[in-house]
Amino acid sequence: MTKCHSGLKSTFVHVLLPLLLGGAIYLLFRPSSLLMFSWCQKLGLTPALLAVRNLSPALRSLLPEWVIMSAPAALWSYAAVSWTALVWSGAPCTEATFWIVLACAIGPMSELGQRVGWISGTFDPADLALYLVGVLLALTGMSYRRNILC
Amino acid sequence: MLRKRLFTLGGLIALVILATGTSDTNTSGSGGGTSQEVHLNATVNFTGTQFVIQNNDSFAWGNVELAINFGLMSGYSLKVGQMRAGERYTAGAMQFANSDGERFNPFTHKPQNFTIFCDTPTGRGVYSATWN
Repeated sequence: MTKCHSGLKSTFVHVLLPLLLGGAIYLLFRPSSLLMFSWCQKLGLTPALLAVRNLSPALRSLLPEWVIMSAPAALWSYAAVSWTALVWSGAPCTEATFWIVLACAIGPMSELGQRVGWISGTFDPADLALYLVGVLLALTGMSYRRNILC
Repeated sequence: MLRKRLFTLGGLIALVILATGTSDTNTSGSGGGTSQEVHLNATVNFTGTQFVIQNNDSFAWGNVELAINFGLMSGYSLKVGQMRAGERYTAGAMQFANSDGERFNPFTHKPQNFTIFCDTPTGRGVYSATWN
């Protein structure tokens, strides 16, 4: 029971919370032409979203540009690596390492894919750097990293 | 072990799907720039029972959604579809409904704000007005 509770808490703190933060940055500060705004509209969340976005000009002046533009990348990669590490905690090292390396690679590779034109979007070195920051934070921050990097 | 693999794959696929939500629906080709939020040029009048909305822009609004008294978890909305440039649209106050399906009653509720949300040729359009 305690182990299960601890796992849920870890999932919330290391996976859901970073995703919620990253999503909030997008919904508050980024152009509403993003696909996620269409999703919100289909879910009937437009009025609530507009109400929240009315607060964004005041908040935006408090945040540096890189937080708005690139921090979601770090939060996403942190969540992806943390999720994989949580699932594979205590599992045999070889396969755990494979999945965790895969999770580490997705964010940076997607950015590099934009650089060479394989994935639509605009390459941004700051996004790449922050994907890597998220990966490093997730790897070093988790207590079971010694199992991951064996 | 199979369960772990499925959990991992499922989680990563969900994360990738979430990430696609950050793609811009108005970019032209790969490497296109992001479009901006467009402030709509509109006029909204309330007659007591009807809202009269005029599109003063030189372009059509698509996928139009009108909202009254929106809040964090409240508000009444109405989907209109398209409004051509210069078009005037009249919406009865009771056509607006909240997420529970309850209609806006102009005799018991005062309209305090009005919002238009739509697609424009250059991005998502927004208009917001308040009444004292």
